[in-house]
Amino acid sequence: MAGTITRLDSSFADEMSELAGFRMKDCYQCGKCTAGCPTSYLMDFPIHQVMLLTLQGRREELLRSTAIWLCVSCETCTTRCPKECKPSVVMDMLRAIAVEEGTLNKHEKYIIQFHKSFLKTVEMFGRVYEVGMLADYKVRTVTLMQDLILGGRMFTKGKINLFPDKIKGIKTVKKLFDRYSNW
Amino acid sequence: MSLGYYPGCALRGTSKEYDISLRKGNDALGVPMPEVDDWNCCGASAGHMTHHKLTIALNVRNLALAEAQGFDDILAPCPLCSKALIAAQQEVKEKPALKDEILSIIEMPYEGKVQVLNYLQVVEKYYREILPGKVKHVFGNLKAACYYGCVLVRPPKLLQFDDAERPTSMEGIVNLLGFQTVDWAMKVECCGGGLTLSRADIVVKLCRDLLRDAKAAGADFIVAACPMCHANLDLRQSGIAKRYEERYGMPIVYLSELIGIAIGMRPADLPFEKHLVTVSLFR
Repeated sequence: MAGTITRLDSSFADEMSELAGFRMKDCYQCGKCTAGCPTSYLMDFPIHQVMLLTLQGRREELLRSTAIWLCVSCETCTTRCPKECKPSVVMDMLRAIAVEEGTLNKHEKYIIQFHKSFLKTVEMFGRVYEVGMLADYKVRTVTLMQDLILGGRMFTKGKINLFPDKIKGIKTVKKLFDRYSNW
Repeated sequence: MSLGYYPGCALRGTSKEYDISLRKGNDALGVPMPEVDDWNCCGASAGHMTHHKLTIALNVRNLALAEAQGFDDILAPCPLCSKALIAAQQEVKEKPALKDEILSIIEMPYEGKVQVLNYLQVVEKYYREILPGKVKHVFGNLKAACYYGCVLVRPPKLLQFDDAERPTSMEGIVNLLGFQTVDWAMKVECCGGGLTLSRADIVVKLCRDLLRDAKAAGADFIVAACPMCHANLDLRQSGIAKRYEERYGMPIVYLSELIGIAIGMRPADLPFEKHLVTVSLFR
């Protein structure tokens, strides 16, 4: 949890350097990444702190943070880093580990559920099926009323397809999900 | 040179305007662009944010299909798709073991020959010579704010396209189409992307910042080349009006729609009726 130091993992910085393809210790905490981050104003740990916590091996806190889910992957941090670090890739890797281990933040469960519902329809049809994704997401998050009017307007404008678009190679796509996803 | 089309999921559903106008413009300009047969989703935000290898694998299948179907270039009009395709291409080039692993599952050869292009690059490469002769120059007094958003230009090392902080390629095209462009500060700022459903509050805030800046710069409309940028800016103006009591009524126009208008299509021939914010500028 934010604020309490849990178990440290001294090998985490090396593990992350390997995964993300740069040396974590190159980060000198200038804060340029956070300065350009569009969602830092909501994060428990803004991106420069995520970099520092990674270096310190505070794995558990990072995996349970809201920060990794509030990141929109806009790539501004990676674009601007004067040390050629890749904070946005660190975010990707932290999310992947959190998903794999099931250590998910409870506050940002809507964001996580959206990703889940989205990928579920890709696994079923090979392409996103909006109605299926929306139904799954809305039921699981109990947010049926939210954006109802907007959804209705989109439907009347023909922006939402009633039926899924299933590809011929769906078996191959399923195999890829079996191999690389545990959702 | 043969150009294939990878529309991606958004252009098949919530962003049909982009697909419809792009195909119409393409037909009018006489550029053949068959669809890559049986393509799958690139994984979008949900994929690369949570499942790195799965996303690479999904896109290797798309690239292998395009290669098998004999395309030299493929257009991925959604920048999220084109970034995912390019990232996959790059990663399997660097990691042969991962490449072999994925190819053994998809049971297809893949050499890495296909070039992935975004819409601006296709305009430059395939339309540039044809366009000037076709432009009617009717709306020369209208001012556009060209909006790039995030992954059309970022991360620059991967994409190798335009300038990541102050890109100008879209302005070049829009000027060529006979419209004026405004200089504005936020053309590469984020709209909130894939948080549109799960955290609409964030999207409303970010889009309001964008609209405010475009309006202050004197823009009559915003030009987008990304389905997420377009959807967020178009769909969330009612939410912005509610939360901030500011009504922008700012038309958000796809670059493909603007090309249609510029080469003489009537607004009724283009899918403006699918927009939530009325587009009545081109009458």
